[in-house]
Amino acid sequence: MVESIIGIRGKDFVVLAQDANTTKYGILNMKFDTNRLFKLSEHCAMLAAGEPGDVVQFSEYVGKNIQLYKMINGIELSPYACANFTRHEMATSLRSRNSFLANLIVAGYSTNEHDQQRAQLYAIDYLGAMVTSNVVAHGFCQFFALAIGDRLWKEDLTVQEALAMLQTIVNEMGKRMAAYPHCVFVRIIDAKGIRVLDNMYPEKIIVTKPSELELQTSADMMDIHS
Amino acid sequence: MGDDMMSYNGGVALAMKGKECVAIACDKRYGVQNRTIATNFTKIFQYGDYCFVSFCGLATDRRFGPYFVFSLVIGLDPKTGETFVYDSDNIGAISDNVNLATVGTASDYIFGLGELFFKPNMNADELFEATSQSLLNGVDRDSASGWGVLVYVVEKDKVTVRELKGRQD
Repeated sequence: MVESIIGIRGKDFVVLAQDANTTKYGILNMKFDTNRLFKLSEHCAMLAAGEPGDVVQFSEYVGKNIQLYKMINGIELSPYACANFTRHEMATSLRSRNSFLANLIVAGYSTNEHDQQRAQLYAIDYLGAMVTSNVVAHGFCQFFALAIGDRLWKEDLTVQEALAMLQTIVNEMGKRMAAYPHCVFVRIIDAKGIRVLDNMYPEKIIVTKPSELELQTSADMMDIHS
Repeated sequence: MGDDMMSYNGGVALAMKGKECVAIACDKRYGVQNRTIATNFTKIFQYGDYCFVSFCGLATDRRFGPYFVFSLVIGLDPKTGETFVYDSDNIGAISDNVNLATVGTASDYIFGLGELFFKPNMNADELFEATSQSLLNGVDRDSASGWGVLVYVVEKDKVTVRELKGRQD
């Protein structure tokens, strides 16, 4: 819940963002460069957050199976297929001995020219419910990302506009979340594949100094020497 | 709400009979308790040329595991025009072939409106109006349903799909 993963879909791309902290015991910041992205294919990737062991186990299992499909059949699975396969694995494992407490975002760019919507973005929760949307997020950042997305997302969003939206979300998280996101890793998936963009940082909060008036008490205002 | 599985994701669906036509409609909200995550989550699936089903309940159980879902099934015999509307709860208690059936978090509200608007032997247009109005107004009373309505009207020669925009909240 404390880890943030966000996806924003634009005209021909998807921007994926994740906070890079690992926190332990509720208060210790162990690591500032945690990677939550798992590559599924050349044009498809998954962000995962939740129970630490489950996240890695499930993501690697799904990722390797998708790569296996490519090795056996010589062709990569589309983002739609990757997402549905992932959802199915999550749903079937829910009622088995090994369920995974992992929330996922699957994003990709379809290489099939006949697809209406080439940039694809899916969110899968730990129960295996999948939904597709223009802005998706998991964790406490959902409150900020979805609301800011409702306000700022528009048709034919450009990369700059998506990154500006993301910076607004990160600033808001920095201001309002106790689990401060020291650094946010940003990646983009488009026709050229998966690329890493510059890190994003929340903007520094400047707070005005308290005024000297507050140092005065009512006792100070009494004249005790008369 | 707590941990009530049937209202965790929210959603509602309605099915109604007419004269040689049947309609099924659902809302489009997908949420997690009191948070709305997406507004394009329709709950109707086509199982045959003249057969549609709808599932309301826990979103993960859709299509792969009928556990915490209530179901609606509608059908039409294209030769005879015989209509079928059935509903089922999550443990498989199936109703008789009824005129009106609802499932979901707002099912009680929509039942009331559905009974009000229903008339026997409606034609396809009247059926569409009755179904739409029941759903549009019923979901306004339920915080876990809404954000638009999808209506399928199945007749002997065609299936008409209409998307309605109601209160977007």
